[in-house]
Amino acid sequence: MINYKNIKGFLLQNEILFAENELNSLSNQYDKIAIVKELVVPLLDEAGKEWEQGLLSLSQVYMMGKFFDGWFSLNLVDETFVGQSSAKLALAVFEDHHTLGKKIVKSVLNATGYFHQDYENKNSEQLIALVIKDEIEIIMLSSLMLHSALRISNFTNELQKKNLPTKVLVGGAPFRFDDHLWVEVGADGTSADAAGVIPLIERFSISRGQK
Amino acid sequence: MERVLASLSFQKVDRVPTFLLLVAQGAKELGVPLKEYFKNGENISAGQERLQKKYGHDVYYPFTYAAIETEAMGQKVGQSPEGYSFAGPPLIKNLSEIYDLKEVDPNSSPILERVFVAERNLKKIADGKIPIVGVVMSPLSIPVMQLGFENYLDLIQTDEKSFDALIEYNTKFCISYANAQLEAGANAICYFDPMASPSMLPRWFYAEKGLKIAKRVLSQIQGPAAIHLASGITDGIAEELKESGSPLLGFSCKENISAMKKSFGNKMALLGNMNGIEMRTWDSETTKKKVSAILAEAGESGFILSDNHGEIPASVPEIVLFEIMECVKNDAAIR
Repeated sequence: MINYKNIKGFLLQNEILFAENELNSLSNQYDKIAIVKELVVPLLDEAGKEWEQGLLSLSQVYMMGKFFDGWFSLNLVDETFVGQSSAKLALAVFEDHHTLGKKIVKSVLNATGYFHQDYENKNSEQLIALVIKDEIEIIMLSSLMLHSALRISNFTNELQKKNLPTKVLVGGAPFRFDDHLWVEVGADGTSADAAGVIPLIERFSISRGQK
Repeated sequence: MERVLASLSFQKVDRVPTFLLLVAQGAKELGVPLKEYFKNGENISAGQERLQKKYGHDVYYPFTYAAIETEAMGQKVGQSPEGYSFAGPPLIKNLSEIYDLKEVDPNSSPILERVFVAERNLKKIADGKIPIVGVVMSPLSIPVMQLGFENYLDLIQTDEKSFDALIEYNTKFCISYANAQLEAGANAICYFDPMASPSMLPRWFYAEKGLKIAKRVLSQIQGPAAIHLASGITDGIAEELKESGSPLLGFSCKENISAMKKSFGNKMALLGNMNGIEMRTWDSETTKKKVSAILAEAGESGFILSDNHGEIPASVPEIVLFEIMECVKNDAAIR
């Protein structure tokens, strides 16, 4: 396991340059797959859990995800280099203009090499059309407002009616305050933090024979 | 009114004051579509009057939707199919626009006039017996709607000058909107400040900046103002909150009431902390269990029962609301 304590410390103190230097140095010692699996994923996972425990703020988690996303795009990482999952992924904000949650998940996916479609802000009808067109197998939906979150059931019902196999992962504030809300709206899973989507993607990819 | 004031002054009360913060429910009471309900203040006051008579709780709450303030500043507001209003695309697309924001006089805003109409009506209806609580968004928190959440976080990180300019603009608006509501008939103001919570921004940020903003605003609001963190935790900023000058704190369902009471003592009364999202799935028995547990820790004073977010979802069953009040009355009988 790569020791990421220094990078984490620099990021929490907003010492971006030092964090960059440290990451550059480590990327000379380890290949990119190791950087992702042994540094980025565990660090973001740890940060997400610490946020849930009230030890870190959402702004710090956002900034960490953004840092790694930025570093990887600067280092011209091939979109498929990690090859973690060949499942077709997408993410979207569901009938909502609050995009921070999706942005944090997007940073995690970019930094960990999961290629995905970004559908921005869409309603149920629009998502069904896109999911069919792009043959999406796992879609991640974010919603900040309860009434938007509840309407995700329109989307999951429609998926069922059309017999589409797309798995639906949901997240956002309403799901953090009601442990059963994701079940209520017909989703296949939820994560309290952004990094938590990775094991869910892995699980659904495996169960669909992607690995 | 006496019950609420007594509890805030840490005097013994006949029963725990209860603020059922009901908003969209008013539309159902009047048989008016939600889309239409918030369009005029007469609806809002009539809805609040009916709700208070129906449930017997201790507040009139003429809140509409969080984005009403940015709507008054010129932001487009979207509406869900059910009629809920929410902030549309960001008001501020480039940071340079911060310096060109036009000052808004709340008293001249047709958008905000509906709130003042509701408060004037409620003042006549209440006749001093039921407190009327108006709402403002804090200067620190409203930029989430003005800029978009991630753009605001980027601003905080990278451009202190523009952050300060935006806070200055928002502070002037917040103070004048709060005072206009008090003038119209509100007895107190709920100062919503979710970005104060360590859930959102690091603890040191509130200590360095958020508290200064709150103190400046609260000292110029011409009436009592509660700080409400809209489900955000307070852990780690208790000392700063106590320094704010606010008599009342809205706190999260994720926090322990006894620990909060110990931490805030008789410096700040507490408002909370039922989980409004979970309440949708409560039945009678669950309500009794959950509310009784809260009341057991509420103590003899310094506590107002409420939900933890500042608005009870319309999908919470009526039986739950009736049961909450029943629990409060039963609790009073055994005190």
